[in-house]
Amino acid sequence: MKFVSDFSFTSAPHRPRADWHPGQVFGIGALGALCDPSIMSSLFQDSAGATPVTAQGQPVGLVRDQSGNGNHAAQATSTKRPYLARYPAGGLRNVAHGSAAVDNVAYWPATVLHNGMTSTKLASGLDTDGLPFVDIQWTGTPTGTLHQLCFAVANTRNAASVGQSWTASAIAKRTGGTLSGVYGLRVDTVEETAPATYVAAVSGNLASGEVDTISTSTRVIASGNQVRTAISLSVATGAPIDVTYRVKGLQLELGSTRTAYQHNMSQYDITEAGQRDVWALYNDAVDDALPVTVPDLGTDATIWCATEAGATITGAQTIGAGSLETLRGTRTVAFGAINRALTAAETARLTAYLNRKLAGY
Amino acid sequence: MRLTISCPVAMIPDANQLARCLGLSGADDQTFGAATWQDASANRYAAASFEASDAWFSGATSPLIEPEWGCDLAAASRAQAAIVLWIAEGETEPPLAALGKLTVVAGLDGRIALASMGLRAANDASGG
Repeated sequence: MKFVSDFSFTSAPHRPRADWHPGQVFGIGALGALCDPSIMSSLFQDSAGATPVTAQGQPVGLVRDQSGNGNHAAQATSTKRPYLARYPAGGLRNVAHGSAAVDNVAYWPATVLHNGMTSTKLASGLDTDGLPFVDIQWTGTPTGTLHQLCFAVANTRNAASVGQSWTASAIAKRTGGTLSGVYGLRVDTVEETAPATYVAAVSGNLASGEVDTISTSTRVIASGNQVRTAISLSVATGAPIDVTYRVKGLQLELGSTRTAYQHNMSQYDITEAGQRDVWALYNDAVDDALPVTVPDLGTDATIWCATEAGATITGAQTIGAGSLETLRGTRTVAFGAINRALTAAETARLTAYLNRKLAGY
Repeated sequence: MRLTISCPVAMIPDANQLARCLGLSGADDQTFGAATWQDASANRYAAASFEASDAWFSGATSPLIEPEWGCDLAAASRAQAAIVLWIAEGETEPPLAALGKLTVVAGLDGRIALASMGLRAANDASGG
């Protein structure tokens, strides 16, 4: 049996022997707070700390302070709590939220009537290539040339800027029925002006055959400020149709080419094969807040955070006693504050630590 | 499903009683805070965005029951009667935020939902 002890007065709650932890900058008399969402045992769904957070997509009402000061971040109002989320360390690209949630009718509805055609979800699961798929049958007599509602495209709306290229793509193959009256299935990239005014769209190539075909479309934003995608069944009007497609790998991303698929179960759960998960607090940027009450940290305090935008360490801060917000971006990976300046060595170690967090370690 | 609610400034007290009634504790009467959003006519709104449980949906569409932590049921009922609910499915466009209404958009990202309601941050000078 091996005993490991640490009797130093500067010992911090989380101080792994192998890896430096920012808890080590909090010595005797050092005030502040330290939040680390990757330590799931420090997260609770309620502000009283009664219900632990056990998975992504759960609200976070309490984050226990890792500095040793007992300055826990808490949110008593349930509607203002952030959610635990994960995203790939290589960066979040696929903003087609729910594209991988193939058994969730909120994203892939069971049936939808549109332009005289009914889409019916026949099956869903994981295909042999590991991609989540949906088998969808379209039947009826078209009164319009498109059926575009087999996926809840509102979940793909994303802010966009003029000049940006956005690419929507998916993989499809025909698995049943006939092409009578059917041209094929495609993925469109739709430019909009918020709230939901159509500007223009680029249609992807049609997938019509019985082998996997990637339909891709790229739109350069010309004047709008929003982008979304749509899965479109292209048909002739007036004649009955009956066709089934297997659809998988729906992705909407910045850039002009399709990249490796990211499994987007929701905005709280995005993963990618070969990429480590980065754990974060998801802030809806409407009303979420997770403040920590700190004592007076003086006029030479240091604040650090890691978000999806990167790591920052800011010194010479004046922080009076009161509430200090820990949510620093859409996805907060780490946050800390201390009542003193950091040494150059501490800053270097902290920078490396925050970058490791952003790399999913 | 994520709900995003716009609340005209005059309705904040009633809406907070509804939030307290449907919420998880008395602290939910702080759901609608500062009115930091505005419509095209510069009318101010508070906003809330959260993942709503099935219980929240059923509670919002049923006769209200006072929770164990109490609430002003009359105020909560006034707010409930002002709800306009829109769910992101089909081709319909979401309703614009309106005075006298608690506009609830379900199924969209919070910021997108508010933009869909014709609201922007009151300190956003871009007008977008």
